[in-house]
Amino acid sequence: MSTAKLLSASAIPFAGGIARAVRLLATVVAVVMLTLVMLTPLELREQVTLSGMLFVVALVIAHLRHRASTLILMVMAITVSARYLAWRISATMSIESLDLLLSAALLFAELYAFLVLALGYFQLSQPIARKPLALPADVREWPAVDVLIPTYNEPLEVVRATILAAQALDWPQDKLRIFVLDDGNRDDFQHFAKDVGVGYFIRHDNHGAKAGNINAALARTDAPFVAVFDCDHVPTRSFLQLTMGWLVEDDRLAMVQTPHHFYSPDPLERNLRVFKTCPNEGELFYGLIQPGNDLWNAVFFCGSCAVIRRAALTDVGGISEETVTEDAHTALRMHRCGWRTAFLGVRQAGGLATESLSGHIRQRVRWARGMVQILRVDNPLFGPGLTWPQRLCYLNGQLYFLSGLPRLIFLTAPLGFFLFNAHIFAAAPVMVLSYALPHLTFTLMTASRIQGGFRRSFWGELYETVLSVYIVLPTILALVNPRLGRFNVTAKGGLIATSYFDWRIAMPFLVLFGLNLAGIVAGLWAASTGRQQLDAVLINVGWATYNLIILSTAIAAAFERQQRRRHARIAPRLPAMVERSCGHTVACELSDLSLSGAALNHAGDEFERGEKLHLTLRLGEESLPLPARVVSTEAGVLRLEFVTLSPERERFLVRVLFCRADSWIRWADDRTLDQPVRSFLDISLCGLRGLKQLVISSTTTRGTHDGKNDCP
Amino acid sequence: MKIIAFVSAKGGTGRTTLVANLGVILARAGYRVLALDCDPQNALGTLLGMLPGLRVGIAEGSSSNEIIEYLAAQRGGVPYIPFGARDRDDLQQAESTLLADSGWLLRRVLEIVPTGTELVLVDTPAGERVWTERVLEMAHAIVGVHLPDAACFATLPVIAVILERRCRGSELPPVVWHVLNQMEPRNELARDAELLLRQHLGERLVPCSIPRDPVVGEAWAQQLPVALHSPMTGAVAALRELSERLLTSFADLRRHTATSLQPARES
Ligand SMILES: Nc1ncnc2c1ncn2[C@@H]1O[C@H](COP(=O)(O)OP(=O)(O)OP(=O)(O)O)[C@@H](O)[C@H]1O
Ligand SMILES: [Mg+2]
Repeated sequence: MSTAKLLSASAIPFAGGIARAVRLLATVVAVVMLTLVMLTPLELREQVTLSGMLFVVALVIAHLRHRASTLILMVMAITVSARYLAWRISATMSIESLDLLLSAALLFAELYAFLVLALGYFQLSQPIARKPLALPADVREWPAVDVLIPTYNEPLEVVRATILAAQALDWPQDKLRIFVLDDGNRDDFQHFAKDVGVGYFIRHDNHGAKAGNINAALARTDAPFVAVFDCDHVPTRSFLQLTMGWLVEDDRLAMVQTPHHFYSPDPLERNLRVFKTCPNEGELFYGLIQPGNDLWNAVFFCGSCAVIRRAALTDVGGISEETVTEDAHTALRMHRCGWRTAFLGVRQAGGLATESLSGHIRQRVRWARGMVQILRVDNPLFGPGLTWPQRLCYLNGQLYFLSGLPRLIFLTAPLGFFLFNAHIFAAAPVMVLSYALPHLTFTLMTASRIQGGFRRSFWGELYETVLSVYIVLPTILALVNPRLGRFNVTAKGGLIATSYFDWRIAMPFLVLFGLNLAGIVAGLWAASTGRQQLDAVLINVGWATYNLIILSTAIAAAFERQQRRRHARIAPRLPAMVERSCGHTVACELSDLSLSGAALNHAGDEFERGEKLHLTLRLGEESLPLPARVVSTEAGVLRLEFVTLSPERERFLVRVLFCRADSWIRWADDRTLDQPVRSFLDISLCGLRGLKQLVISSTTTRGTHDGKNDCP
Repeated sequence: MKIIAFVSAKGGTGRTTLVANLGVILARAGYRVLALDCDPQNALGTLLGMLPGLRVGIAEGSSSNEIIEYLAAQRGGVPYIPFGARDRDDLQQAESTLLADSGWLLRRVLEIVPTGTELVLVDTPAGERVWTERVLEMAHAIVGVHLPDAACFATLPVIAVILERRCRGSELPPVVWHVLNQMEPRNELARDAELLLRQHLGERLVPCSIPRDPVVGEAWAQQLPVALHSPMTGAVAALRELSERLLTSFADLRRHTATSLQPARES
C-alpha cells in the first residue's frame, strides 16, 4: 500500500483485463525481439554498424532528462552486454587446454559481472525519493520510543555526543528513553550515564556481540518502537519526527532506515584527497541502492540510524545473532514474515568514518562475510515469504560481496596473454573490440546515467579493487562454512599520528601492479621482436594499463595521511560572537567547530595567544557563551580551544554541532553529475600522485641511508 | 514613509543608541532613512552631529525649508532632525500645543520630513510622556527596548499599557517588536531575565539580543555611533540583525539584497 501511494504520481495509466493482456503481449513481443538482437551473430562490418547506430540512439536518449530514458538505456545496455556475452560464449572459447582454462575463468568473472549488472538495473529501475510523513497533530498520539546506543570498546569521548544528542531529540520527554548498552562494562560510561540521566545496561556475558547486546536491552525495555544508533552516530533533533510518521501511519511497517552519514573523511577520501568533492563509497548505497530497494519493499536494516517496531522484532525473535551482519539478516527475516520496511533518504545523523584503510577494509570484510553467510544459511532465493523482487534485491546485495574473485581475474587476465602466451579470446582482435567496446561503453554510459551524483565513474572499480584481495578468502570460507568467524568491532575516533605508507595493506596491490607492468613490458618486447601480433598486444596493453591506473590509485589510498585532531571538525557557517575579558565584543563567522574548539573568521581586533575569552554561539533563540582560550591568530582567522565545559554547555555545543535538523542536509548539494572522462582523469591523477609519492618515499629513505654511509 | 518608534519605560536602556546606529546601518544598506529626536533631552544630536548655534528642530518653529537646509549642511551618516526647544518656555509651549492638538505632531512630521524618505526612526523620552504618546499614535512600528535586569519586569506592564492604548481601536495597529539591549550572556541573572522576557513576549522579542559592549560608550565619547566607530563588533552585528528583523515589518518597502546590510570590509 505504501509503495502504491508513493508511486501514485507515476501510476500505470490503464488497468483492467484488456490492458493487462495488451501489456503482456507487448512484453512478450519485446522480449522475443530483444532475444533475437542478443543472439544473432554478425560479421565485423554489420556488428560495427549496429553498435554505432545503437550508440547514436543511446546518446540521444541519454540527452533526454526523463526517467523513462534511463529505463530505455538500461534495456539497451543489457541487450548490448548480452550480445557480447552470447558472442563470447559461442565464438571465442578456445579449445586448447590452458587457453580454455583461462578463458573459462574470465568468462566466469564476466558472467558474474553480467548477473550483478542485470540485477542492479532491476534493483535501481525506479528509486523512490520517499518524503517524511507528518505525525498526528495531537502529540498524545505519538508513541513511546526507546533509543538504544550499543557500545563495546569505543572511548567515552566518542560516545558522549551521541548520548547528549539523543537526549535532545524532539520528542515528548515522557515518551523518550535513552539507554547506553555498554558491553565494555566501563565505569566512566556508567558515571557519565548517571550524570546526564540516561539508562545504562551491562551484561554478564557478551554473547551474540552487538545483536546480543541489543536483544538483551530489548528484554529490559518496553516502548513500542526502538531507535538504534551506533555509539558514534550522533542524531539530529528531528530524527524521530521525520521517521516516525510512516511508522505511525502504517502498522505493518517494521522499520524506517535513514542514511549513515560521515562528517569525517573515510580513509579513501582522506588519503586520495577527495573528501566532499567526490561521493564516497556509501553514498551510492544510501543515495540510490536503498531508495531502489524501497520500490520493491526490500530496504534492509543497516544496524544504526533506524527506528524499528518492537512487534516486528519480537515476531522474528529479535536481532539475528547467526551472522555477522545481523542487521541485513534481521530485515530479511522481517520481510519473510510479511513486514514492510522503508528508507528515508534524509541524513539525520552524523558519524565518524573509520580512521585507517586497514580498519576500513576490516569493516567491509565483516560485511562481506556476513552477507555471504546469509546467502548460505538463509538464502533469499529460497524459503517462504518473499516476493521475487525482494529475493533479487537481497541476492544482489549479497552477490556484490562475492566480487573479490572476479575482480582479481579482471586484474590478472592480460597476464595470461603476456606471460603464458594464452589466447583467452579465440577470435580476431578487431572482432573482440567490435563486441567488447560497445558492451563496455554502454555499461559505463548507463552506470554514469543511473548513478549520477552518487558515484563517479571508475571509482566503483577502485573500491572493489581495494577490497577484492581481502574479501576473496573470507567470502569463500563463509561460502564453505558459514559458521566460521566472529563479529569484530570497527575502531572509530582514533588518530593517525604521522603520515605513513601502509606497506602491509598495499602489498597485494604492489604485486599486482608489478605483474601488470612486467606483462606490458614483456608484451611490447614480444611485439617488437615480431613474436606476437601487434593488435592483440595492444588490446592487452590497453587492458593492463587500465589495471595499472586502478591499482596505482589503490596504492595511493594506502598512504595514510596524518589525522591530527581528536574531534572531527565540521564547518557550519554560523554567525558567532567573541567576548573578550575587557568586555569588548567581536562579530565572527564560524568556519570550523568541534567539541574541542573552533575557528572563526573575523575582521576586527588583535588577539593574543593564550588569551581567555568567551565564544557565544546561537541556536535559534538560545545563546550560550563558551569559555575558550586563543590557540592561534593569523590573518583574520582566530583559533580557539574550549576550556572545560560544564555539562550544560557541552550539551549546547553538541546541539549546535550535530542536532540542527539541517546539519547534514546540504552536505552534498554542490555536487555535479558524473562526467566519465573527468572522472577517469581524476582517478588517473590520484594514481599518478600515489606513484610519485611511492618513488619519493622509497628514494628518500634510501637517501638518508646513503648519507650515513658517506660520513667519514 | 514608515515611522518606527523606540520606546522604553525606564531611562538608559539604549533607545538613543539604537536610533543612531540603526540609522547608520540602514543608510549604509541604501535605505533613505531619517533619524528624528522627539526626546527633549536632545541626546541624539551628540551621536549624529548636531550643528551648533542653529535653532532648528521638530519642537521649534523651523520651516520645512530651514530643515532642508539644515539636513543639507549635515555630513554625518544619517540625516537627523533635532528636537530643538532648548529652553523651558519653548518646551512648555510645544508641549501644550501637543496636548491640545493630537494631530499636530504628524502634520509637523509630514511637513518637515523630506519627500522620498522611506524610514523615520524616532527617539522618545522614557516613560509615559505626552511626546511618547503622540509618537506612538503615528508609528507604523514600535520597538520596546529593555535591559536584562530585574526591573525590566517591573516596567513591562507600563509598556503593555502604553501599547495597549495605542493599539486599541486602531484599524491599522502598528507592528510591535521588543529587543533586549546591553545583554550579558555570561551573567546568569541576565540570562534568566532574557528567558522570562521571552516567555512573556514570545516571538515579539527578537532573538538577536544586543550584547553589552564598552565600545558603545567609547564610541559615544567620540560622538560617533558605534556602527561607524567599530563596525565589526558583536554589538553592531546584533544591531544589523535587528535591522533586518525590523525591515520584515514592511512588506512594501523597497528591498535591498541581504548582503547590502553587511558592513563594507576594509581590506
Ligand atoms: N549595547 C550597549 N553596550 C554598552 N553600553 C551601552 C549599550 N547600549 C547603550 N549603552 C550605554 O548605555 C547608556 C544609555 O544609552 P542610551 O542613551 O542610548 O539610552 P536611552 O534609552 O536613550 O537613555 P535615556 O533614557 O537617557 O534617553 C549610554 O551610556 C550608552 O553608551
Ligand atoms: Mg535617549
